[in-house]
Amino acid sequence: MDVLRGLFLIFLFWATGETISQLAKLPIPGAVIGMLALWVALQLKWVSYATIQPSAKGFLAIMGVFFVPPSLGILLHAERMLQYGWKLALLVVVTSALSGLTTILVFKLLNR
Amino acid sequence: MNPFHEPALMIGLTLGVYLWGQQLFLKYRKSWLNPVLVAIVLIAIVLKIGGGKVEDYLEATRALVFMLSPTVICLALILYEQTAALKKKALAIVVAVCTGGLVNVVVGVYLSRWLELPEPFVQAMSTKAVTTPIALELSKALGGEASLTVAFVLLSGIMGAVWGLPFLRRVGVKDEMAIGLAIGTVSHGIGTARVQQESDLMAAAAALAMALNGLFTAFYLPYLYFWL
Repeated sequence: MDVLRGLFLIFLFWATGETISQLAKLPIPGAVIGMLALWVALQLKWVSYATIQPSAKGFLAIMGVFFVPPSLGILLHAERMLQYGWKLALLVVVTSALSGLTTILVFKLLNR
Repeated sequence: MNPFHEPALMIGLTLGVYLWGQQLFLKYRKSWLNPVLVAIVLIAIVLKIGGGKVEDYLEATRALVFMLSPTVICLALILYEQTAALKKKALAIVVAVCTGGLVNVVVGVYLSRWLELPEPFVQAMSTKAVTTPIALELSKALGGEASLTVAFVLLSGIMGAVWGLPFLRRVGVKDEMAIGLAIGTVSHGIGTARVQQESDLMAAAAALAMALNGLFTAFYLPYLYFWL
C-alpha cells in the first residue's frame, strides 16, 4: 500500500516539475524542479517521510544502474574522441580536479 | 532475432553485470571496480564479440533510462534527512558549489581552446559537470551537438565517481560534507550514486551540489559562453 502511495507521490512531483518547467519555459528539467518541490513539501509536512521512504529508497539503492545505458552512448563518439585522446583525458582530469578542489577550498574558507 | 534489440535480454544483461560489479566492489573495495564502470566495460565487450550495435542496445534499454527522472525526485528524501546539517552551512554551500562549477566551465573552455579542440568539443566541455537533462537544454541553447554533450557529461561523471574519492582523500580532505559537495559539483548523478555507499551526509551534500550547480549553470551559461 505504502509502496503504491509513494510511487504515486514521486510521479506526482515529477509531473508537477515537468509542468512548471514547460509552462515557464525554464532550462531546468522537470525532475530537478520536482526534487526541490518534494524537499519543500517534506519540510512543510505536506508529504510524510514514512509514506515516501519505502519506494524512494528502492530507486536510490539502484540509481547507478540507470546511468549504464547512456554511458555506453560514449562509444558512438569513441573514434572522434580518440583523435584527441590525451588532450581530452588531460582536460577532463585537470578541470574536474580544479573544480572539486575549488569547491572544497571555498567551503572551508567560508566555514571558519 | 536480433538479441541486442530485445529489452528483456539487454536490461537483464545490464542488471546482471551491474550486480556483479557491485559484488566485486564490496569484496575488493577498489575504486576502479565501480559497478557503473564494470558494467560499461563488460557490455561493450559483449557488444563487440556478438557484433551488436550500440544503437540497438540503447533502444532496448530505454525503459531503464526512463527511471532516472523518478530517481532524481527521490533524492529529495536524502536532502530532507540531512536538512538540519545542510541549513547550518547554507551560505558556504551555495557559494562553494557555484564557484566550483564556474571554475569548471571557465577553465574548461579556455583550456580546450588553447589545445585547439574543435568547437563542438569546447561546448561539450562547458556543460560536462551538470546533470544530463540540463546539459541537453544548454547544448540546445549553445547550438551544440546533443549526443556529444551527453558523452562528455557521462565521462565527467564516471571519472569523478571512480577517482574522485581516492583523489580527495589522498590530498587530505576529511570533511564528509566537503567531499560530497565537490563530487556532486563535478560528477552530478553518477558521483551522487557512488557516495551513497559512503555516508548519508556525503550523499545529501552531493545531491544538493548537483542540483545547485545545475540550476546555477543553466541560468548563466547561455550568456557567459558567448562572452568567453
